[in-house]
Amino acid sequence: MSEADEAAFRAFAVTRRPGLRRTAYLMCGDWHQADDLVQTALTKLYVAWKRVRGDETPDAYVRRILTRCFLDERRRPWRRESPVEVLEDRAARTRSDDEAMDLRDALALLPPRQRATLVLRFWADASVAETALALDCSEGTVKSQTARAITTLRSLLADPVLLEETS
Amino acid sequence: MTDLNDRFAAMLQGEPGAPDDLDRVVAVGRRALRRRNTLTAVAGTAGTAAVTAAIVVPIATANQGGAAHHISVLASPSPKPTSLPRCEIYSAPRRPGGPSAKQHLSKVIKGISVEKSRTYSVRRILTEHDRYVVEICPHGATSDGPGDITKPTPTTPPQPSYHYDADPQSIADGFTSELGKRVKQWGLQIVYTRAFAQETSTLDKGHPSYYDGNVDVQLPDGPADVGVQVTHQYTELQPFDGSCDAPDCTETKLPDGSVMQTSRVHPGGGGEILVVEVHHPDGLIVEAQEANYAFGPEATRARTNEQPLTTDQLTQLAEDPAFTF
Repeated sequence: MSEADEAAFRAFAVTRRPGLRRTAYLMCGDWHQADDLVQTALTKLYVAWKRVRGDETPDAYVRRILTRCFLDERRRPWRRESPVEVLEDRAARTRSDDEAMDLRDALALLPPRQRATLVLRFWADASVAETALALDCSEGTVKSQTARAITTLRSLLADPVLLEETS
Repeated sequence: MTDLNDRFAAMLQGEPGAPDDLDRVVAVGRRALRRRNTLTAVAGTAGTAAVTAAIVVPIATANQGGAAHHISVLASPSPKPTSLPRCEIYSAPRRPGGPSAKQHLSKVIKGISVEKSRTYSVRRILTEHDRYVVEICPHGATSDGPGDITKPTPTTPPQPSYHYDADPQSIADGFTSELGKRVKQWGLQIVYTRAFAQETSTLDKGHPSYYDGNVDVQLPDGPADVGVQVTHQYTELQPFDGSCDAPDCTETKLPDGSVMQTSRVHPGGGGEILVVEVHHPDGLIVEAQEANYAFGPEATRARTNEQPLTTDQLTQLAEDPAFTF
């Protein structure tokens, strides 16, 4: 990589890193893991930097990589997710307000792709199309994942009006 | 509060300071870039499709004047049973104005011999203007003979993409059942079984991104876990780059071109997970793992003194054809 390219990469990384870190944290719920995810994503971006600058915006590319790194990490055996049927059982329960869990706990109970969908849509402000690109799925899937995630969150948080405006 | 964006913002209160690791990112990126460039150079010989199918694995470096030269293993030219010493083909970029082929290979072979605790020597050399391609063999190894060194390296032909007609959950159920049979054959009592296919089926061109089965088994001092996970090389975004940088990672090239990596993970609290991964040339990855604690609903903080399986048994699972459906 030329010095000019590397300087451009460094400038991009410095300015985007805080936002990426927060997005990563909302996905994984742990600042240390978030730092690891961002470091991995930026490293992959470095490797692809010359091509990415020419073909697509670095922001979209690094968001894709970050999301894929997060999903890949969830796959690892020591970070096994709860089986879906367990989640659905919990989501079906009715909770009173004082039993409501906080958002961090509720997000942790969502399947990782649903969690990533919500964070991309409602935190990173990605459009449906951009979220579909990041998750490598169709726009219809993004919509259905969003709807399912919000339904689950409403139940877990005992908040029937959660996201009424945006869902 | 009904706005999820506001709630996300609230979750971020108390954000700790970020590490200053941009130099590290750039250093790791440079190494990865060199590794990719090695792959690109090899593709000039073997053809891009062939290199994509035949996993290229950086396994050793030879230090020359402070500059690390990454060496890559190509497909084995003469598949033999794993118990026999095997010849391997290596490729490395040649730097303009760099050392001669003889000097370069001397350093390379020395490094590989130390790493593998076995004396290697060069059987064949193919030198081109921008790279070296050599076949090196440990003493006592057999190969296909000297052959024509100008011929391209034999490689595995591109494999068709995976396609499953069966319901994902039934696939997961099926191989979890096979896992249970094998674990029982080894005399272990299963106390919990779980079969799982990733919920969303769009990640890998219409297929679940992974299937996962695990069983908790009862050991004398508590429950422990054995699992198998089957997945695919994701996309061009995350190809298998051959890195073996997990703690205690060791790597073995198998006769069919697959790469086996064995590693150990310590997730904390005294837990230990042994992982054996087999990366097949077509992108399929079978990962067998065992842990000294349970993953199921009866899981406790207890850690068993021993792992449920021996390393050989875990390796058998990772190589078992039942999991390469």
